[in-house]
Amino acid sequence: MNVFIYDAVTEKYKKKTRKFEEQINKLGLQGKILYLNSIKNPAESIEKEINSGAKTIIILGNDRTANLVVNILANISQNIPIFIVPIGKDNLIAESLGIENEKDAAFILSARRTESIKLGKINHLFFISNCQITNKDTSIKIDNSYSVFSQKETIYKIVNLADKDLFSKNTKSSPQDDRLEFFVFNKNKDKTILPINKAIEITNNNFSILLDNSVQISLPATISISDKKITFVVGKDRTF
Amino acid sequence: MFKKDQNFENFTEAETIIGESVLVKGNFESNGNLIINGSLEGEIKTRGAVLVGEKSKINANISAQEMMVKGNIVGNLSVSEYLAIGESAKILGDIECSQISIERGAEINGRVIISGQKNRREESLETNNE
Repeated sequence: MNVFIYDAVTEKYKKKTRKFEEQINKLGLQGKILYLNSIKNPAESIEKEINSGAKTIIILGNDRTANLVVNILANISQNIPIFIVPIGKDNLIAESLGIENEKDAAFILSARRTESIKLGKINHLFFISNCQITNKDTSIKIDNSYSVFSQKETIYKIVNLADKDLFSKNTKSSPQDDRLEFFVFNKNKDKTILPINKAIEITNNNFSILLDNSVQISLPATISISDKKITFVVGKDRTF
Repeated sequence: MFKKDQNFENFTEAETIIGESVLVKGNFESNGNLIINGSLEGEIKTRGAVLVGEKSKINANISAQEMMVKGNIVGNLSVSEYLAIGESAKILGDIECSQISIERGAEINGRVIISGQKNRREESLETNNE
């Protein structure tokens, strides 16, 4: 049985959501729907569906929704494949997984090509794609052995799953290996790439860090690759 | 990995890249290749190759399999195979390698030990080309 999790953003993009639903009906992939804005405890509701025999969790929403559901599933079950249907803006994770828009989503789901990816961990939370923070007032220590300083104003990115922008810059970051990558980009193709084999420690008293392009958390934080693996249904144009 | 006759200019991608605007401080260990265009203070150990770009400023001892130097290094170099020193290089420190090439204009201030790969006969030179 498919379980569809609808983020509140689907209310704003009713037309797009309906188009996806029509395709799903045509392909006979219907299932149970959970509306995130109408359930009190998403973790409890999702666990209940898994115990009732859910075979695939299909998320209709954006990066924030994907991060929320992955954090729930990582603590409940890592055996249920997830599929993300990008609805509205801020959908870099779905794009990285090869799901460009809601029009193609139903066909990608129907093809059911799956890949397992390791999740990144920041303090007690998990992330799929990346964490990013301004270099202003930020202190970095990698693998407990060296520190990094940027002499220009920039963004520090800790990457597990490369987004399309990074992918287009010919940078490799696989969510299937046992490490993360630390990136610094400046103008004139001046780039820095450092592998994180163990962990990266970040402190900043003035700015928070953004994970999966959507969730802000305050620092200090320790970021590493976790031992949790989640299986995603992916498209052929994924970045790994 | 570098080949003696290969042009180092083709070496543009590596597992680790330190950009021009970045300073790394501490001990860096790796199994892969490194490109350093920025600044580094500490120590580098890798089983791979290291390319030190023209604008780099390094204050570190470096141990690598192969190495190309075009920038400034204050520190000792230990290269198990081939070391290429470009015309813009400035090295203040001792060098140990199996094979070496030095372009005209390079500055080396330190002891150079070259132990050829085949006969393992060690030759040592004292150079001070400024």
